[in-house]
Amino acid sequence: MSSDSPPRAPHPEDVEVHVFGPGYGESLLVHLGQNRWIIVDSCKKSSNASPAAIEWLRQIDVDPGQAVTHVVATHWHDDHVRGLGETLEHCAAATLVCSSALLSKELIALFEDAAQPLQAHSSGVDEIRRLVAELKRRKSNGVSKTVGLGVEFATANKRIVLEEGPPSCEVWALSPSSAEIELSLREFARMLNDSPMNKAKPVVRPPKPNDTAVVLWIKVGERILLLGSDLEERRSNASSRAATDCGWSAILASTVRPRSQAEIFKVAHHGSETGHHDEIWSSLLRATPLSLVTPFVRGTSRLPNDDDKARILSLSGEAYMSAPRRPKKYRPKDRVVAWAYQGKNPTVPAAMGHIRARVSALDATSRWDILLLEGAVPLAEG
Amino acid sequence: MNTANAYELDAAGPFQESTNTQAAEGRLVAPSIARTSDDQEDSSLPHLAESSTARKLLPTAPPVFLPRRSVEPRTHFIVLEKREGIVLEIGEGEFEARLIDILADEPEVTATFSFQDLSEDGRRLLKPGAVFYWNVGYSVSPSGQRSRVADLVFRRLPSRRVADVAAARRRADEVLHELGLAP
Amino acid sequence: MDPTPSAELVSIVVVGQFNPAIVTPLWLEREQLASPEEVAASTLKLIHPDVSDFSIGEKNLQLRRDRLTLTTSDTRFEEAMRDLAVGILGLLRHTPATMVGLNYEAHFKLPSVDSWHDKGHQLGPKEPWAGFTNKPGLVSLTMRDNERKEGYRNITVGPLSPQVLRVFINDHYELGQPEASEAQACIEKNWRSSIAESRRIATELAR
Repeated sequence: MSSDSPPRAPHPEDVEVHVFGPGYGESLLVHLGQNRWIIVDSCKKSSNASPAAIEWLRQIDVDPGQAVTHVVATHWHDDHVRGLGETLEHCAAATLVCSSALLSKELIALFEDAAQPLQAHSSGVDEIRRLVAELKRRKSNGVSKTVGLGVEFATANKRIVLEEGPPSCEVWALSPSSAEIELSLREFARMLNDSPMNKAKPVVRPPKPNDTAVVLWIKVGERILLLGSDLEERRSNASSRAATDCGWSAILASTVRPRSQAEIFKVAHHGSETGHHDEIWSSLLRATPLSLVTPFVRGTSRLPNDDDKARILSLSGEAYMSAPRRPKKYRPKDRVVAWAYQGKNPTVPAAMGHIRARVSALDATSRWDILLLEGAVPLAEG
Repeated sequence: MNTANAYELDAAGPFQESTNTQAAEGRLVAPSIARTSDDQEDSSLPHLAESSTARKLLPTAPPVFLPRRSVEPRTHFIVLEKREGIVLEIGEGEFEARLIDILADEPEVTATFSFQDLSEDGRRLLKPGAVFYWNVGYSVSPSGQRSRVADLVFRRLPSRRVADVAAARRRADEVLHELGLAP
Repeated sequence: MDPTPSAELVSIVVVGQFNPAIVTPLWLEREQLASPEEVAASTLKLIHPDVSDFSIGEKNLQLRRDRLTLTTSDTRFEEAMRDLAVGILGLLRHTPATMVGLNYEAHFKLPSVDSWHDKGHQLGPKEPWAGFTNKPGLVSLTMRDNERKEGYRNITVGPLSPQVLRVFINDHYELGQPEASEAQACIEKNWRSSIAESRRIATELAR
């Protein structure tokens, strides 16, 4: 592991992965070489803070408006989209990459119906609406630096980025499949139609399991990364449709996806059992990869649990987690506020954790240099 | 003290009367039907009569005599913490919620509330995703008595109607059309 | 340490053309904008074809033919009061409306009579008045910020009683489309920043 003080931008021939995760939230920032960056999902330290990836780029004097080529919205869970709209606003040259389901009539109508004004908190619904507003603004102003609308729909086995080098880079979406998209659209329409009338607006919650998240396979020079998002595996008793149409099974069954195995894995769905599939580790990843995990900590929910942690450690060469799994106790300074919280077990997330993994893209033998910032910890200690 | 004329919002008391969209803690007063020079007016204040739309009620509607009421005592709240809460999970006799700071930029808190913290209306409105306001501070009575309070009030918005869903679908069509993604 | 108000009033005023007979506590309950308990405990001041005036919870509502006014002096309920305004306007969405006022009033007890006089001197210097007054004193001063094209912010400051400073801020909006739905959108867009800014201004003036 290294120290990096003050933080510096990567060498043009380095590939670099940043994982931000405060305990509730996840965002990835990837350097594809030659000061080309992509941002995958978004999280924030607090409501008024800038998105974590944007803050980091500014710290290393990189202009997100020029250097970020793609912003990927892998899905619309609250913990993956905080500040996503703002991120796209900052990245004037970036193409938005998302599933076509995210910009479907069914989902937009569902979100328009569910929109609640004047909320202090920002939900997945609000963030996606803000994304849409930014796309509309770009289209109507005609000042977009991107080609056309600046949107690329991610579907299984579609190459999204191909750039020459050195180092060259490719980004592929491995999911969602067209079957998953179709099922999602039907579910969104059902959610809108089935919500009761003459009652308070329903809260829109993403369907479970999450089998429509965008998984990315990234090759920069000689190095390969697999970013697993929140993709879960639909178990065979959960649906009548063939398991190979959905989730990780669909990816593994594909005969047209990129075949090279990744050496670094952003573990899916916070290391949970539902995001696990044995064949990810045997087919999609090299032996003993470098594993990066973002925890999910909310109240009494904790991911990865102890079994998940043991499993990931047994399969990985090295494993790191962006933040501890235990939140911190909230200790208000004011006595009256402290009195108000008595017996309520108030907790705050652990600090915004940040893992930086950097390696030369052109030298296949060089080792990954890991930097753990703020609350990030080795998985064994987290 | 301002003793304004008929149908005008009386500015007496701590909150002054207003024009346009300025608010007033209004007290409608018994009118003098005919204004005479003996009417008390505060000449330092603008002539609110000219801007009052109440005069438009005359001469077709009969005058409305209203009792003058005294300034009502008010409770004041000294806020120490104000958060917006979102219900996450509901368990046996308790629920978990996210609490977002509205006043400052303090980190989000997750806390567990007992059903006993809720009013009857709160129990009715409790469901995953429901929004509430959480205020902690001192309530100061009109006599100056201070007491600690920690209040939880659920948000109320109008119920959803068929027209709302139709409007949402129309807006979705418009959005896709604007983005050039309409089929 | 920031000065703390000894009293506050938050209000929303919408100027338009209303039918006061519609809006009653029972109507609010039917539309799920008030609970049965609030309605049972509501204080009716007047229900008349031309004026509907009642308190529900800590929210005071007055609906005249030409304006809707909602107020609360208990800031625990300012969001609930705002939600009530938004809810009513949403239900009456096609009702004509032309202006919205997002208003804030605060009273500050200054540390001493001298500091109260000093504040008066600071806000209203006496020199311009020296030639034609013997003992000038500030009663009220209003400044208008005209930055916004469709509207303005009026800030009124003056003594309320010895040692007490009153600040009243009328954040006034002219609506583009003359409909209650536009008033609703105006409140949704501007409420949070308006009230935060009004509080900041009041605190600065009282410092």
